[in-house]
Amino acid sequence: MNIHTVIAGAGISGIRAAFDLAELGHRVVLLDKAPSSGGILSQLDHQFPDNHCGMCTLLPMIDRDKGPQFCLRKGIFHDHVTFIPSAEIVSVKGPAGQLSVVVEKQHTGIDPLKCMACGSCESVCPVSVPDGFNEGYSTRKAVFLPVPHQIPNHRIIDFSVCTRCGECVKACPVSAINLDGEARKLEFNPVNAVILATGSGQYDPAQSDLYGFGVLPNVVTSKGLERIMSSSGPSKGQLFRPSDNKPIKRMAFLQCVGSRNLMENADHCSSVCCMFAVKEAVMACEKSHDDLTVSIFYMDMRTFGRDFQRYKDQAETSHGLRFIRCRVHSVEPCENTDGMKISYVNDKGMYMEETVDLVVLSTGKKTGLTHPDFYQNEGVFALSDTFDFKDIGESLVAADVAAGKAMALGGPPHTPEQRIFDTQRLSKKAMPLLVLCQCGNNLSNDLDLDLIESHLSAMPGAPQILKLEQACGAAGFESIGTALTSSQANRVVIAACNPFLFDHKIKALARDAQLPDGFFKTLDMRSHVTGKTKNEQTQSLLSQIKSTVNSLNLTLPVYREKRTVTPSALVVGGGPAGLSAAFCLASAGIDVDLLDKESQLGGNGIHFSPGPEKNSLDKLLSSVTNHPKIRVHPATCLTRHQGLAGVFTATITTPNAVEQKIPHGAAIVATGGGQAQTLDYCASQHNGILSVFDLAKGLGDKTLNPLDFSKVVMIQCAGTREEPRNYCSRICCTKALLNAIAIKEANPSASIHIFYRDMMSYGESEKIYTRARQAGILFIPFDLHKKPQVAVNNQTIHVTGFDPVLQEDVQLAPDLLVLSTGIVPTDNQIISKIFHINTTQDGFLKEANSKWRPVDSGREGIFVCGLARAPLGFQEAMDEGISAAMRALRILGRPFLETPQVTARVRHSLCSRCQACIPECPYQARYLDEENGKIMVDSVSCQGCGACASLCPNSSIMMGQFEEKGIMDSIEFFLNEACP
Amino acid sequence: MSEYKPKIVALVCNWCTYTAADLAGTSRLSYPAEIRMIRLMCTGMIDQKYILKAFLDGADGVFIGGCHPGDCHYIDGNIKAEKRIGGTRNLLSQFGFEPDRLALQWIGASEGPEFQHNMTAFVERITALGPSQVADRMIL
Amino acid sequence: MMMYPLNSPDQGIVQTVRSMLQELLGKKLADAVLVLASNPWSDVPMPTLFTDPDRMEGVDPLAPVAPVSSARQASALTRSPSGKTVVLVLRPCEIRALIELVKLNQCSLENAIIISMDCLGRMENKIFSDEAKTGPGITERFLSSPELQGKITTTCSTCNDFLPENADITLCTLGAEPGHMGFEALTDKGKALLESLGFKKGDDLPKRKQDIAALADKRSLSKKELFDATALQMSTIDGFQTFIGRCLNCYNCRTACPVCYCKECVFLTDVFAHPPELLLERATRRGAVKMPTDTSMFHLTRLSHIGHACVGCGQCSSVCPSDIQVADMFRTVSEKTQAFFNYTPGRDVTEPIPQLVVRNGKRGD
Ligand code: SF4
Ligand code: SF4
Ligand code: SF4
Ligand code: FES
Repeated sequence: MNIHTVIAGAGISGIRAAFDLAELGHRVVLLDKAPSSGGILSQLDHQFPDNHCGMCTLLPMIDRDKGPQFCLRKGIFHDHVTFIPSAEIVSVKGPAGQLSVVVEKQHTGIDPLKCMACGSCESVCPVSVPDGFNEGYSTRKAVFLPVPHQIPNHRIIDFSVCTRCGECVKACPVSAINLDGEARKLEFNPVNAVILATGSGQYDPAQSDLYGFGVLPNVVTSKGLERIMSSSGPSKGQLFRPSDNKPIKRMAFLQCVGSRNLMENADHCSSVCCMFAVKEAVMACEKSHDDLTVSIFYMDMRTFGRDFQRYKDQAETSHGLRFIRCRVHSVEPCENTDGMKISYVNDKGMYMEETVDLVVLSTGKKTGLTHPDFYQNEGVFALSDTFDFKDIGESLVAADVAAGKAMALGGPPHTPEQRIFDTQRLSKKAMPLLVLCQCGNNLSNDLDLDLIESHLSAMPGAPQILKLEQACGAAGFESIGTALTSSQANRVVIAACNPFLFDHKIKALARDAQLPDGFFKTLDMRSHVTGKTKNEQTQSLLSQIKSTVNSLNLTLPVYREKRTVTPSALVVGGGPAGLSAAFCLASAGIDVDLLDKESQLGGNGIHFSPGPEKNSLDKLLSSVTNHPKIRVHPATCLTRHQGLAGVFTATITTPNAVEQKIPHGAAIVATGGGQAQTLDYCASQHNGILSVFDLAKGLGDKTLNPLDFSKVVMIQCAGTREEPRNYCSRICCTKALLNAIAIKEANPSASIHIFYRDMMSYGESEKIYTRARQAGILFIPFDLHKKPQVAVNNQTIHVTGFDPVLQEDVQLAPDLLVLSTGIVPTDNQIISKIFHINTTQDGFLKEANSKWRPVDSGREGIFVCGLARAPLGFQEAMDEGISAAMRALRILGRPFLETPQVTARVRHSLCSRCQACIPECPYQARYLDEENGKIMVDSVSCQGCGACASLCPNSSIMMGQFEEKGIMDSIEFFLNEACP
Repeated sequence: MSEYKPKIVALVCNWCTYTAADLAGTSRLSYPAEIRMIRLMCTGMIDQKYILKAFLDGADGVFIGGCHPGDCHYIDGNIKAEKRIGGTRNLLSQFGFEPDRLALQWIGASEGPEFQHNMTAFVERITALGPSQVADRMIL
Repeated sequence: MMMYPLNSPDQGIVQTVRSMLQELLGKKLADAVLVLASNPWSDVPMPTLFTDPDRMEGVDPLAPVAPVSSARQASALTRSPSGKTVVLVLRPCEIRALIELVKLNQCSLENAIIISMDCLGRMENKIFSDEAKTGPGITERFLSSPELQGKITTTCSTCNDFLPENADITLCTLGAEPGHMGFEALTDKGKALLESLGFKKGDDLPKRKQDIAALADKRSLSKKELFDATALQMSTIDGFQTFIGRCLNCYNCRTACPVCYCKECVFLTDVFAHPPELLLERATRRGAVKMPTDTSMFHLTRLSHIGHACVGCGQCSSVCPSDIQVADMFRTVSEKTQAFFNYTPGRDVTEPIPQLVVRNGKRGD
């Protein structure tokens, strides 16, 4: 098997990159140092900004049958992805495209093929250590289940604490334990690329004695709190104080622990902690039914994501969160209680003290990241140099960018496997084969297989039964294969233990028998061994078998639509996002039509002043304009967009008013945005009042001279971060800082005051903020209810602001007033109508899911990126463009799109065309074919949720293996069993 | 009456509640034997007929478990289900079925203990209500 | 409120309305008229689609009978755009059903003009036919005879939704002296039509309000009695079973129901076609099972599918060969369903159907 890419780090970024490449038909090895996948997210039940999970949304949507159809927390299963837990890359050698990658896999003590997950080993293990999964708030044994819900769910041994007493070896009924194994080296060669998605790790607050972490039991990290509140955590979802399991009444979050701290050499912002804290605060309030006071001590609330400000405001009003701007001096234990005293100086300069029950430290990114020595090798791509913390959506975008680089190193084109089906066999009436595994007689005490056999013969559509000693071994599979060739069976149900082991083999069996994969079902016998009577257990297994056999009997072969993909893309908008999307697609060999309504490409970038950003844009521009695969249509408008994923048609109007049709397989919308206007602060009443963007442009192209300004005032969030434009535009703060530094450096005597609400210099931009403060720029925070006042009298600008430290007004008469007015999208009104996609309340294009599908529109085959979707920086916009291109390639990279097993189908003879099902579909997969008067399902967009089927009173919608009849029969079987 | 074991059908979604059930299983959190679980892709897939069928077929209780609002793999299948099930509960209550016999609960993937807890509580609730009036009728 | 008096002391009301409809076609104000009309082959008037005014001699819009719901016929007529203007003469309950069907894309009211009437109820076919045989002018007799009015169906005598909503024109029979009725124009369309036919605005009918209130009171009272009794019976499984005990699963009720819009009822599809083994298993489990099976399932499913939309027309009771008062059950149960969803069927075409979550993210245009 040719491995295309080895990915280190199976957090969500690693998983995403793996799925990206797998969906392009490449084989991927994904490994993680940890014994499980999911990274930090396996410890978080809910994530901001919607407090939901939805991790499974990350699973491939096209060709779903190749991937798992269950919760992603259970593990990673995909035909093209091999996941190796407890493994690390030790060396990478050779040229890109021909790498030799050596991986070391730890010995974990237990043979997964033998283990039955009975847990006997764990119960006898004498060792007890803090459980890392629960951040130490519970204990575990040396042999343990690293993440409770994962499958395969066999345990592993932590040899760093194992005493080698050998108790577990004795206890294991199937001799699956070997204490003496060694780490194994695996070599993959040749490999096209390596992706490092290992992250930077979290700051350990125990290294500072400031807040008493590690000493005071009720000082916890934000991740710790997450575990304390989690259902799978130590207190099973109850919010208790760790020291004494008492309810918590007062809780304090201390932000920026280990971040934004020059003394700790941490001149960075960890970007996600603010939102993380708000989310946890909300969850805590909900858990305790708001019988809880939460205070968040912060320096700046960095709600810089598009929807974050409203999220924070909402949390503040509905749960009464207290936001207190300060750095906490110290956390000290209270006498005689387990409470703690927090002291700080508030924004009025007063010394304050408060007692709380729990202190949560918002710990950020670890400093002092070291890279492995092969980091600089050709063909090795890291998600980023600094492994900044990112929210989920951004992490996925970064993963797409890395996967894009790996993809660019070539590799075989996507040649989907061509399946042949034995249509004769399939068209016969359902003939099921039931394989009953006796598991080497291990189950005879728990399940009566003979009874099952005799009962089944009476059921309608009774199966042919094949009893096997051991189904899972090679011999077992051979017998199944033989049984299939020697009979006319066209449905197979395998009842065995550990059905996940069968996944790959079943696909092979299906291929050989020329039957669809979906006609093979496994069921877990062991899950019926529940400690009840043998008869009860047997009955329970029996009804499950009956129900499975029956549903399968009722499943008709899927009519496999093969939609030939038009292998070209449409990109609307030639700004940074659109350009990078176009270039990425073209590099992957896809023809691109790039539309821009302006006559010049570049979007907002055309105003860039000389510097690295301009250089990289210019480079991109010339690669795009010279690329043979890219057709640029300047000064062209899109007027219509029709069709389905893979087979769209766009109608465009060229500058000389000619209509043209462009067929394409996927479309990327990157129509951009621009600076917002405001009426606040006398914006248009004086020519000394500029926007932050105009100042940057003027300073860049030298039309403005820093020496002309002796007194400068800047006001952030002008007309924004409050209703109706209640969102942060993300880049204004950094732009303002850079402007201020540029003026100050050229003109040191200039006085510069910046009025700000929260300085949004997230990530590495924090360094710019530090530099600005060191340069002597003055920062004055303000609240919405005490905004600075601006008046223009006699050609003079007067600014009055309130200085909270001095507790008095400051009066300024600047010769330059700079307003950070923010960003608004440009053409979304029209564009969203043309594409039938949604916008946010602020008019940005709305992605399908801001965490898990950040650049997908709600409609398959249409992707959104750049400023049209959200305020972004230049590099971020370019990255989103690549991300959108990678998503489009899932479609464009295939010759055709197929219908998955569980997909809605309409029985037109029954359908009354009431169209009630059309708006019901969450994926906009259903539509009325006006010409033929039929309700159609776009089998590529349909995800098989069945919402349409349960709605349709005619029962004219069929759902593959979830036919109504089958489900109702199952209900009947189960109830029959319950009353014998 | 001490012999009475209610017959309960649980319709659970594949993504969250089924995972929670699985987790309860692997974590050895036992829940009552009376429950017969049917896995569907999503609670949004639940046709009202399934609920009617279960009750007419003699179920003493029907438990429906799905993802928390917002967590549904299919965006809002659970919200649709909630609406429909509300209607079905209203209907059944007019025919003398206690509304409590039909439960809809959100149980997330990592909430194995919640699954156990909800199931146990539901079985208790149904046991207290006693056998459904349909049980021995020869009607369907 | 715009009343257009209709004076017909000599001709009789039926003839007057008939002439008006004839004139409507004659003057090409509409292309076709759908209205109840007697014909030589049936002892009850049937909905009939007219295009030729000269063939309208049997037209009898106020005949107290409705062998089928004209809503279904109206829907068949307007299912897809024909470009023709049709006048639909419908009872109030039929209009309500039609509105529900519009929501389900089964028809459109775009080119339709609806004429309706204060509904004094309808008789079952057999009773109507017997009464009609006793002498000429059954419709006129009915309008003036409280005794005949007492022979209407249970559904009608317990219906307090007897005034049309969403019609363009109402023929007001309540509050009028015999021979002095009036047309009320409820929409601009209706008003224009009446005026083109030469009707002049006149005074409101003096006793109308009073008569409406009196009838409403009477009907509400009997409705409450019926609903209370039915609800009580439904409240136990045995009561429910007794009610539908002799149902033969003929599905006539669903065929007659104007809002049961499925092309083919799911109970007639393979979903409910059980193999013998399953039937035997059912019997084995309980020792006995009533055949045909799935009867309760059918009625409950139908209630859950269209309970919110039941307009209370009573057709299901009328067509039941087993004399089951299906409508009593439907109306009683549906009233609560409709209250639960805060929904009134037939009130407004824009009122969203409950149980369908109308998403914000609709496939827009
Ligand atoms: S809900 Fe059913 S009947 Fe209505 S259009 Fe959809 S498939 Fe056809
Ligand atoms: S609503 Fe129907 S068509 Fe849409 S995704 Fe769900 S199953 Fe598919
Ligand atoms: S018409 Fe009467 S007998 Fe026929 S299905 Fe309906 S209730 Fe039963
Ligand atoms: S997937 Fe769980 S409720 Fe929809």
